[in-house]
Amino acid sequence: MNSKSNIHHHRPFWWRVCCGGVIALSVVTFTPFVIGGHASRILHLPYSLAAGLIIALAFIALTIAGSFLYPKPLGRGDNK
Amino acid sequence: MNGWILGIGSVYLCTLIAAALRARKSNHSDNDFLMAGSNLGALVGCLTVAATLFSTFTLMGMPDLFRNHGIGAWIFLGVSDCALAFVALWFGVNIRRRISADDFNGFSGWLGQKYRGRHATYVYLFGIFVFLIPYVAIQIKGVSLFLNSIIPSVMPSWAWSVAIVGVILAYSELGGLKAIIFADSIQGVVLFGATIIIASSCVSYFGGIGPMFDSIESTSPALLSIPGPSGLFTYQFLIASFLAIAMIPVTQPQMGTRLIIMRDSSSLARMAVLLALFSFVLVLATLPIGLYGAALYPTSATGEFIAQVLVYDQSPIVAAVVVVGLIAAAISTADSQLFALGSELRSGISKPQYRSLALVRSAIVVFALSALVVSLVSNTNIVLLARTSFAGTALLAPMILSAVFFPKQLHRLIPLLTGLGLIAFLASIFGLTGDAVWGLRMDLLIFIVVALGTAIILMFSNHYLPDERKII
Repeated sequence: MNSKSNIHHHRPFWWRVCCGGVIALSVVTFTPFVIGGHASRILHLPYSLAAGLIIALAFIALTIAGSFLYPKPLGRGDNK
Repeated sequence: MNGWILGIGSVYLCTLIAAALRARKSNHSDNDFLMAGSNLGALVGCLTVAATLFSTFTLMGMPDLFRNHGIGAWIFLGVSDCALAFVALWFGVNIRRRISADDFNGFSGWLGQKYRGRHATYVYLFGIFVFLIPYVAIQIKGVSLFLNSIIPSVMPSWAWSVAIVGVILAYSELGGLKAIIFADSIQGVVLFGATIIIASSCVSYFGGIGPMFDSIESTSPALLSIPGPSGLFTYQFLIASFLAIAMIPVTQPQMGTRLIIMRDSSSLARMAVLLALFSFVLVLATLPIGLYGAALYPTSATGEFIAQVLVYDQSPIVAAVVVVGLIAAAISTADSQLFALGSELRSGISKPQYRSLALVRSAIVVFALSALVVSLVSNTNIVLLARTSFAGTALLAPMILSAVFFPKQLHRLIPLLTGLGLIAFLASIFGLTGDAVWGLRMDLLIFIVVALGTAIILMFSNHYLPDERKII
């Protein structure tokens, strides 16, 4: 059953998926897929810049996803 | 242009004074003065975090980095800042589970409690003082030199430095963190607007984005690949910079405090998203400014290039907004750090009877004057120290993260290891050790040693958190 309480219960899993995604992206950033002496262009942009923009957009997407998926505090520790 | 600068500058100064007086009126407690009432919304939170993060170097340093070293600067700051936004969310969510804003009065005192000893407090204070004071100083010095170069008839650069410190002290002492956050918000808007306007004019100069890269490819093709013409952006340099920048929300007190004083977790989450978008657009906007410089002023000195692109090539009103925006950027970054240093000193004092607001106020004056003196007598080593301040404070990250995620497994060896790491890092900056060992950059090597050493110490502490306090 996909009730609201189940969604809340599973949120930590998807939150951890976001955290894992950020770590994976960080690793990919520092590989030859992104950094290197590429001379080609993607949509008029130099390859490494285009790849870096895609990585940055992916970080933003994960931040947006994380802003919905982070486990909500149970009252304790939240300021107000 | 001087008339515009005078007019816009006067409006900015009057706004600051009004905000400081209003904040003073609404401050009813120590918590109001130090923590702005712990009631930050998402938009103001984003602007104040962005203002503390993006200093004068954003508008003065980043275009120069693109001009001299090419597109690798995007990986260096653009990608790192987008990752930083997620770290702000991740760390913010977790630190707020550990610390209530009502009980929080600074990281230094909190670390002392967690490690059950003063050594963690001393190591933390040592780390932030050694690396943040020079950073504040170089903000003041950088913008003072810039102002003196474009309007030399007004006053010498040292007088600009004194004036900037005077403004910082006046409204910080009057309005506390509320006034600082208000100033940050103004700066965030001004810096963002000015950068976008200048970037648009630079792209228009080339006739579009495609022609911009075509033009650079015909004259300096090395700028369009990594590691750039002089080979600055090596893998190790970029990885070390990424770690240092991404860890800023964890290690820098002015950032961490803002995460804790957000109104609630929803505001924190929205703030992180806005920060990611803000960082992406702002850093990307400095790219065409840098490439414009590479096309028109490839051999000019940094100051000359910055003055040309930001002031002389712009309409008088845009130039005036940029000048005031740079002053605001220097002020907002410096005041946030000085205020955080004062608050952390108070937090680190063990006896509650000595933790008065007067102490914070006095400490801010002392730190501001220290930064002023450093800015007046600074030399190359100090500049180097300021540039590497993020890398230095990043060494505090394993100690802080351990206190957040493994509070039952902490050991006094962790602060000791962190302190040794800080000393080794300082030794490498001042040339007492080599730049690299076993082919690894010294800053990266020290970070790896401190992080791995902390992990090993935690592994040998065989305790586990109760279920309800598990990390997320």
